[in-house]
Amino acid sequence: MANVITRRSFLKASARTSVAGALASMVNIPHFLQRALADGNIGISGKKLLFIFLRGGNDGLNNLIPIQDPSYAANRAQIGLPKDPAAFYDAATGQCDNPGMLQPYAIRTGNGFAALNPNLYDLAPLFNTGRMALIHRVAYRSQSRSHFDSEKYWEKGGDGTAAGKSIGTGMFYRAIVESGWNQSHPLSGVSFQSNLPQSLRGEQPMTNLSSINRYNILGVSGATSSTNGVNVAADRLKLLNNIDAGNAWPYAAKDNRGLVTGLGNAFRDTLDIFQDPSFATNEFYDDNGTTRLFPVSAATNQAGVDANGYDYFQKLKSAAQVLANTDAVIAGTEMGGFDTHTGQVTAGSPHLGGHGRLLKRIGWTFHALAKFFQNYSPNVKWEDVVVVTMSEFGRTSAENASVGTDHAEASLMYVAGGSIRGGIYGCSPTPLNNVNQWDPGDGGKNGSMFQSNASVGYLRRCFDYRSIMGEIIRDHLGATEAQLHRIIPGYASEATEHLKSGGLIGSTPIIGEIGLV
Amino acid sequence: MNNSQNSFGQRTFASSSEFSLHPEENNLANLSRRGKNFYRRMNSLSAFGRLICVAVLPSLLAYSSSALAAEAVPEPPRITTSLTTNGLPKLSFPYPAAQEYAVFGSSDPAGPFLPMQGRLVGPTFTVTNGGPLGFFRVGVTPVSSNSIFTANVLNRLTYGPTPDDIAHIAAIGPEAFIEEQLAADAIAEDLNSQSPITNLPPVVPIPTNWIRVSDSGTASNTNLFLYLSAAGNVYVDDIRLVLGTNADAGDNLLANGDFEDPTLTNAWRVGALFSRSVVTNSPTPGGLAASGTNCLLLISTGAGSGGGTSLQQVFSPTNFPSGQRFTLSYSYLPISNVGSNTLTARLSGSSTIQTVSLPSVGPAPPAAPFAVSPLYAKLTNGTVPVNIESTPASVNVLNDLRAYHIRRAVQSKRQLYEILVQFFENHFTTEYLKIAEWFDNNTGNAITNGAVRDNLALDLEWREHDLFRRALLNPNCTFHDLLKISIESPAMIIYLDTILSTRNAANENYAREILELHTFGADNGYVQQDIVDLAKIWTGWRVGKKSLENENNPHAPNVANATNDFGRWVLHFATNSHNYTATKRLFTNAVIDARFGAEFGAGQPYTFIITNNAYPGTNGMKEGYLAAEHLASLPFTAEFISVKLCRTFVHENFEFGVYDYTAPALSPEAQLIKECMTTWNTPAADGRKGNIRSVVRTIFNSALFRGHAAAQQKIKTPLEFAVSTVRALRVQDTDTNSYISVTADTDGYGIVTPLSRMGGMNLFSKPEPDGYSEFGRIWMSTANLDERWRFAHHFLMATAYSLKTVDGTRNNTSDPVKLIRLKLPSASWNDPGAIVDFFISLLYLGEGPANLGLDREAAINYLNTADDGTTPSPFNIDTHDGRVRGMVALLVCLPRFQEQ
Repeated sequence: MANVITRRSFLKASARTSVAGALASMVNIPHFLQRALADGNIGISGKKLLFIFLRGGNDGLNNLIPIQDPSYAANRAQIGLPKDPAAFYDAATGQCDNPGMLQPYAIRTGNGFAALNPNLYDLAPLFNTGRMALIHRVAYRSQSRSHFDSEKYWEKGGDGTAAGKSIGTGMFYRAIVESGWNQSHPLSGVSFQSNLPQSLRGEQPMTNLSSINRYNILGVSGATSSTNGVNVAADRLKLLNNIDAGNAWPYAAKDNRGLVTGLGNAFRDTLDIFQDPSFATNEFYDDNGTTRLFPVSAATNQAGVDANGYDYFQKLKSAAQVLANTDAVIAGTEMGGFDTHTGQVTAGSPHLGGHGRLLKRIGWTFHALAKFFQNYSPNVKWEDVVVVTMSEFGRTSAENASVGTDHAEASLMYVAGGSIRGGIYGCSPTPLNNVNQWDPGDGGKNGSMFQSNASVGYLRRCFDYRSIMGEIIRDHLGATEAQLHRIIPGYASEATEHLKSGGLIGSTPIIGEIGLV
Repeated sequence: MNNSQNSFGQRTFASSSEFSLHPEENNLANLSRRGKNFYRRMNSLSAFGRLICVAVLPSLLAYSSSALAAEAVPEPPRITTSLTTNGLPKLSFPYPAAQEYAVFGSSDPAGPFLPMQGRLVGPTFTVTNGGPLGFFRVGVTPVSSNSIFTANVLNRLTYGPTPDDIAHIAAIGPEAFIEEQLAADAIAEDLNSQSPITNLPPVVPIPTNWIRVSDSGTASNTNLFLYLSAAGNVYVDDIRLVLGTNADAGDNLLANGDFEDPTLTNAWRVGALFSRSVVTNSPTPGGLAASGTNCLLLISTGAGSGGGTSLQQVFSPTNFPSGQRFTLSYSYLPISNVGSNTLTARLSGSSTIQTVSLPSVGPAPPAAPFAVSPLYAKLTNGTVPVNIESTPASVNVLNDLRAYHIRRAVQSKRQLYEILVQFFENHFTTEYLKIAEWFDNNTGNAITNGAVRDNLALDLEWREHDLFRRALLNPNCTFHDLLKISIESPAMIIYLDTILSTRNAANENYAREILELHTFGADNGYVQQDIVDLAKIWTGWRVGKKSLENENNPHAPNVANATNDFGRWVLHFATNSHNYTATKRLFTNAVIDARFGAEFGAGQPYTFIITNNAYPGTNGMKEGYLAAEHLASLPFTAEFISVKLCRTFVHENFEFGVYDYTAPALSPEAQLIKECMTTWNTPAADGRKGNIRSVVRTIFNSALFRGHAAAQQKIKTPLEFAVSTVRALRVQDTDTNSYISVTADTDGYGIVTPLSRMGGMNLFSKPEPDGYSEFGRIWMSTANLDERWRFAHHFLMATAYSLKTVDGTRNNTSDPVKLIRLKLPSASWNDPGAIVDFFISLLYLGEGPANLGLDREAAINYLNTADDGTTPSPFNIDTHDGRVRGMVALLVCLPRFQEQ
């Protein structure tokens, strides 16, 4: 699709001895890594992916609550969310309740079975537009309960099998290099966190920024002044222009020289994008015109998120802006704090406490992103964006003695976007693809909340996360089936066809693709 | 931009044609011996009749190795032509490593070609004064091969040279420099004298000249007071108080005025302020009192005034006539005091007898110079940094280990050794965070303090690292030695999941990576079944806490109580977890690839079998040691390690698993790998194969390493970039006040975050087991390049500058103006050209002055321009510290400093 910034970037590029050409030819990439630019539509399609990794293992059961399963309340006496005694939770209204504020009761989703954590009340309007999918019981084969290993599998598109473990590069990385988009665009995969996540790591560089403010230089000496809210030295522009000039000087070819100068030129081009005052200082508001979409300080926190979330929302804002205003295809950030072994909720008030504050952030995240892309992003529409959350594992179905939960396996994925077929998946008595989405228990350690070995309190798996990511990467971003097979290794092979069409993994029924996009 | 179709006026431009040297000139060495001069060369080339020719003209070359003669002359450059905005023809003709260019023109392609009027800057030429010329020819004097060799040695054997390194290699030559660096154990390393640079006040010599003073006056009472006006000290001796006005004439009214009685309180009342005063026999280095043996060291902790705040004596006679005059005399030895201080001796009453000012003695400690590291090593040579049994102080964290490693990269004289330490630490990488997580998951109940668990993880990382350091310092170090450290490392056993292996379920992770990443290289001589069986060999290799007397005994029992029993987490062999019953068959029926040739055992079987129950009980460990020995002995390993070393030291285009070493004509790369493997197989001084120093020496002796093939072919890693920046500007100075300072420094900690920002180079904690890449391109993205620039800017900011802490700490220091004053004659201090040439010589090695004209011009212009970048403003070193910093930052940011 058309992208104003893209055009400007390329016009500038050609005027500057073809940055695009330099980038395309600069990369001293082994031939086996190079892909034809024309293969597939990733990048060219204009479709974007925004990821948020929820680190620590999100307790999915307290996000999307199987409230009608008697085993839920029985096994979560302290941390379980109660029903509103005045409401009927088996009413399949098709509409999610919208309390508009934090209540002590679980929110009815309208499917007659599942309920939302009350801290997720900001999700309700978006959910009711039909553009938000809540997918429960997501895991993968040979699930690891180690943060380290499980994050690696999620980010690299692998699983706990020998083949899945040995995948070297990141899943999002492969999605980008498959199209060669990174070879002709200075920004292709961008993360906003302390380090480039494993999902974007590989042989070719992707971009990580701890903050969008870092995409700049400060200068070295002299009186300081504020430019776009950043204090810079008097000689900043002098230095910048001199460095820039240096990238145009002729030197004899060496293995990596084209790469360095090409990137230097590309930096200057993208710097201009980020330094554009409209980019650096814009405030984005909810429909009421006063509530900021991205609460990054007390003054901008009309949404009422916890103050510890400001840094996260700053990074989220940057990721959204990068997708909206540059050629980046995949961008994202992370949120920590989900390793809730103790004190997951406030004892006696399960709608309060640390986990609930994180869920408030998640609810507002999706609301804010939808509004941002609907109202502030002329080039990249909400229909062009998919937002996904990932988390390395879920938590034990039964609470522990410390008002918390321990490492388990399956958890919840949030997927939203203007072209997503929303709804509740994996938390309903209705079968899907001939697989029961949820078997209620009888109040003991049984039903879908517990694997067959009841002493192990793990939620039964229902979806492979790779089926969900695969569908998004192919049908949204525009990978070909063959590319998808490489992006998520073995996706379409006979042995693992279940990722696409469902089947059994061992004795575990896996639903496969669900037609999200 | 090829304007070959353009014509303007009578001039016709074409892009450069191909050009080949005259047959007899193909050998550069021949040319050098003939030493033909530049213009004759031009004339001789005109016979080729090219439209636009490029002549490659050697200057007098100094060869240090016959190997060099084999290196091909770089291809002549293309001349590209364009028009300036003024419509003048502009030529561009970049050539690798050029000493000098000259441009000639002719209206006739057959010549004669004459020197052109124009502006030559770097490899560009703008015609300023038109002649009847349509054709151009460029003459190049290449940089001497010795200069390129020297630059490659400095770029690859060091993290980037210091100014002293550049002087040193110029003095002894690159060959000697290589041998010096190879023999790391013979290089005197005294990091402690270089750092910490504490900058305590310099010791001022104690004066040896006693001064005797006297004065006369009256008294209202028979009290003598001696005191100082401020905290401080002074030596005093031979106090004499006499009646009358003649000093020293008559009886001394004071007892023990000569302080020969060492018990001060026998005669003197000592006020609390002066309670630290002592009688001493060694006021001077020679121990000389003013007379006799002893004297008084009067020490005050505050301002005295008499009475109780003094050293006091009541003297006799108690009755004296009104108006009686006394004369007091004494000797004092002035020593340094902070600030102003005076010594007063007076009798009671208002009459001051004698006051002596002390401030004139000894200089007040001067302010510390600016570019000084105030930094201290928390980790020192060979000291275990972690007290694993006590609640850790906050200082024992991963960043301490990182800073330790980085400081050595910056400061060590054993630069090649530091590079090899980093190479093998990275080759056998383990991840601190995973170790920490293992302790969290497995000892969380026993060791409830999370910081202690973190320390345990750090301790494993540190001990593994320290073993690599010690091994590599040994001239006889082999690859097998290093592999053994790695297989025994508790960090590796946890990191690659050996610790999860059980008797019946062997985790394959380590078996896969030891083949793929540590020895053979991916898909180089093994198959999946080899991984399966090798994994069984590692079963039972565990980590346990043992008492210190058992720490080197993997068969000793673990301590009973991991929380309370003293001990250390070390290698443990769990016999009940080892798979004894399986027969392990590796490389079944496999023979060494034919491509290796007979020299490396082509066609020979390398099957490795451990028969079931062959090594019972504690002998089960032997399976692992035998396997490691076997892996290290095979040519696949020699090839893979040689390739990785060549990618590090030469250029990136070496491959493993593909070269056919039996081919009649090997590529230079394959040839060098073959030579490395031959060296690998040649027993070293101790009779063992796989000697690391011998292999890298082979690389350094190769034509590939010494010439254009290696020059500037590699992008620095973030670590190399940051450390080379510090080192390039770092010289040590001892000033007239005895202060030691360096003109650029870091505490190491200040580099940790920049390394992370420049591409996530988090030392000792890479999640993936393949280590950080030796391929520079992997570190390059727009944001990573920006972070390099930001680091350069941060580093060049003055220590006290307000933006200094935006990107880091004030503990990354630099003072390029001081470097100028130390290294350039004062006549050059206000000469921008001389200053820029100096910094270019430090930062851009081997490129040749002719190519650096544009960089040079920009840097000079930078010095002569105000901060707005346009207003001309002549440079003055006394007022333009910031411009020097900016100019150096510019040179560090430009492309040439990203490469090595």
